[in-house]
Amino acid sequence: MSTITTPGTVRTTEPPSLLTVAPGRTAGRPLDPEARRDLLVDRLVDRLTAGRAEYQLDDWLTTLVSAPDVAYRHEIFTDLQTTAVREGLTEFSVGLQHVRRILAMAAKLYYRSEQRRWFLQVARDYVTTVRALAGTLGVASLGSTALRGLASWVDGYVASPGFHALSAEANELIEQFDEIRYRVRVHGDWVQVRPVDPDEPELASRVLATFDRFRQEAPKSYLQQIRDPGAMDHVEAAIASFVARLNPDVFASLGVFCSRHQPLVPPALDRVERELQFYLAYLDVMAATASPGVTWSLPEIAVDRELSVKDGFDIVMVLGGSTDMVVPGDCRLADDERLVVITGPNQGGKTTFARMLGQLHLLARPERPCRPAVSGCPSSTRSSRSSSGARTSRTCGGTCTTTWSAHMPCWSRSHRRVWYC
Amino acid sequence: MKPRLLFSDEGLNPLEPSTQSVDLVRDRGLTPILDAMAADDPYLRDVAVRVLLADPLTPEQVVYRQEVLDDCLAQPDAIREVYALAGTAIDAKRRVHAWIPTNHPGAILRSSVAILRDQVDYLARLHAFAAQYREQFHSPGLTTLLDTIGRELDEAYLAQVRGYIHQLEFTGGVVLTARLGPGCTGVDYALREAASTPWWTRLGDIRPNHHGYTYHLPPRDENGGRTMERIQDHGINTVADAAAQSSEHVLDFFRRLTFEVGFYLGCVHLHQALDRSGVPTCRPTVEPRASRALTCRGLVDAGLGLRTGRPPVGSDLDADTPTCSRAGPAHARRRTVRDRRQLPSQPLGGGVHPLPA
Repeated sequence: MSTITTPGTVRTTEPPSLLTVAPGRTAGRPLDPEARRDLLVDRLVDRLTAGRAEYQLDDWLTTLVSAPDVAYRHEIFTDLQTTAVREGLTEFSVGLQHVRRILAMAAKLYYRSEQRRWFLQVARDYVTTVRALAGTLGVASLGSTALRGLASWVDGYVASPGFHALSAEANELIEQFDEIRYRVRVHGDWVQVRPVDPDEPELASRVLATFDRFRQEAPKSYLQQIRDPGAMDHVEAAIASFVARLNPDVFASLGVFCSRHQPLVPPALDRVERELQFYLAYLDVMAATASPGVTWSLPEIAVDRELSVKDGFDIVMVLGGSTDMVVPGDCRLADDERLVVITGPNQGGKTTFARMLGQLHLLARPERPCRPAVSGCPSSTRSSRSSSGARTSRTCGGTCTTTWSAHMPCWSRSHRRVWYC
Repeated sequence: MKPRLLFSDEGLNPLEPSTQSVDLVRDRGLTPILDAMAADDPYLRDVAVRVLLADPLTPEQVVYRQEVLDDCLAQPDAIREVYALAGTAIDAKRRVHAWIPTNHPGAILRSSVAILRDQVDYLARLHAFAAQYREQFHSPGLTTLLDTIGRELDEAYLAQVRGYIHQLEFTGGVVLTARLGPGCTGVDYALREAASTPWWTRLGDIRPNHHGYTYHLPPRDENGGRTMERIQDHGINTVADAAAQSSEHVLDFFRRLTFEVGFYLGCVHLHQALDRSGVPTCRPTVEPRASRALTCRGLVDAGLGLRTGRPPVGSDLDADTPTCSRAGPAHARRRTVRDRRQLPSQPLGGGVHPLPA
């Protein structure tokens, strides 16, 4: 396992991958584009990647080549059913997004004092985020190998001298900056900065106290919302430079802090947060589509010759935001059955049912010839025809590959899929 | 500081609209009485309507007002003077063209300071009025008010007010304290009372540890000018709010004083009009609630007397016992009235129909 250099001098191992048992294992082939379009799975993909463009989740919407990876991901989905775990990891993701956003903003700033001060601020935010993650994972009852490994890594990272130094120095520096007070006089076209004069009392409260004897009723407030531009300009830069000259030690310490703690976020933690989006995106879709008749389950990969779908539904219907109750459907092929015939009246749901089967078939179908003895997964061909004449892809067996969806919850009460050669 | 001429405690708020229906004016025949009280001043008429249609009074509140009215009837010119003074004071906004804007601290501060500068002169005149007439009033209401004005608006206080008004003009610039925020820009600005500093302290890095560092805006630097104005706005936001509230407090005080003095001025007008019409008046005695007393001598419809300009024929009323009787020709005599009705502090008595308080 490779090592990384955290802020400071301590080397630790990397956190485990959340996607594969063996880190660095390459993904399989993308889903068949024509089938994706025909079965409207593209809409699911669009929904999963919406608002997460920076994470490039498309890279992972491929087939897997390892059944252990399927189980590996199922375990994580199971752990994420626990509210505290899901919320804690979501907060961690939000926290890191905030850190990246501030760091990106600070990198574009012109004035060095402004850059450095923002770096200090976001360093403390980063420490808070990581400690919160450690707290969440530390108290949770985790069943997945991945999250247990992550919890162990985070504990070691938080306890490392580098992280401890980052936390202590950030807090101390922020305290010192919070204690800085300065006096500024604005008159016409000049501004003057000097230390605070303790003989100059605050004025507003004294004015109010003077006229308070005339108060009749609860007063109306005339306080205004003053919008600041956000970035420092040359006037504020001059003021900041004057304040720095009045407080040289604090600003010198800030410069040392910024130099010492680069990069702030270890690349491995960025990678973990990106992989986490794979799960959070899918959970968001599940939560957004919750309605009567919609039930999700993790598919069961079986070794016998049975296809069983209970309470399946067309994912595109619920993604469309329909408020109508979804009517799920069941399908079962057992023993030597090979053909599904779907019939019924017009507008009865035949195409929808067929599309549902096609979606489940596409996202959990065999790819290449397999070796039953080695993988433990039998395989065969399977095809079905709907009454409208559409035909799902006829597969010719394959390895025990599953698509990316087979290791994610499926839109059925249960889905037992069989691999055939 | 409240006038407390109508009530010894909080009582009626002149700034709130009346909850009573104006149909009561017609039902009780109050129109001629209100016209007499107003004496062609629509504000006085409005005040009279609101007070007369207000909630019933307790016997103590009636006596409180009767005593104030006694002072007003004895010194009508003084009441007119303070009514005119307070009425002019509340017109400050129009006079100084300073409607307090609600969108910019600098503008809010300038308007408020202009109003306060105008108001402080009226506060001084009110203080002088109190000093002049204090010994001539005897009622608890007026003596308390004038004592309060004499105590709260003394020369030392007015000098302090004038000092703050001058400071709020910031002729020497705005002095603030601040701390540094997350981006090293200023936050938590607080305005300070500036000690005077020599002019040479503006020259830059001369003895920086004492006089500080100075930055001069380049010529025609509009962006820099906006930044300096924004920094000032941060600092004066709170004091602008304080000044605006303070000006509203002073105006509210004068509004309340105008209202309450206006009611008694209306009573003075009514007394004079009844006198001109030959309608006799008296000061009713308010008996305790449990006494169930109601006795009148020479009771008349005051509105009729005002309309005709002659004293109407009066009636006597003896309602202390369960059997109520009405006697012959009226004559002006003290009477007792039942205190269950709403009773005013106006002059009541033989020949004047009781008016609701």
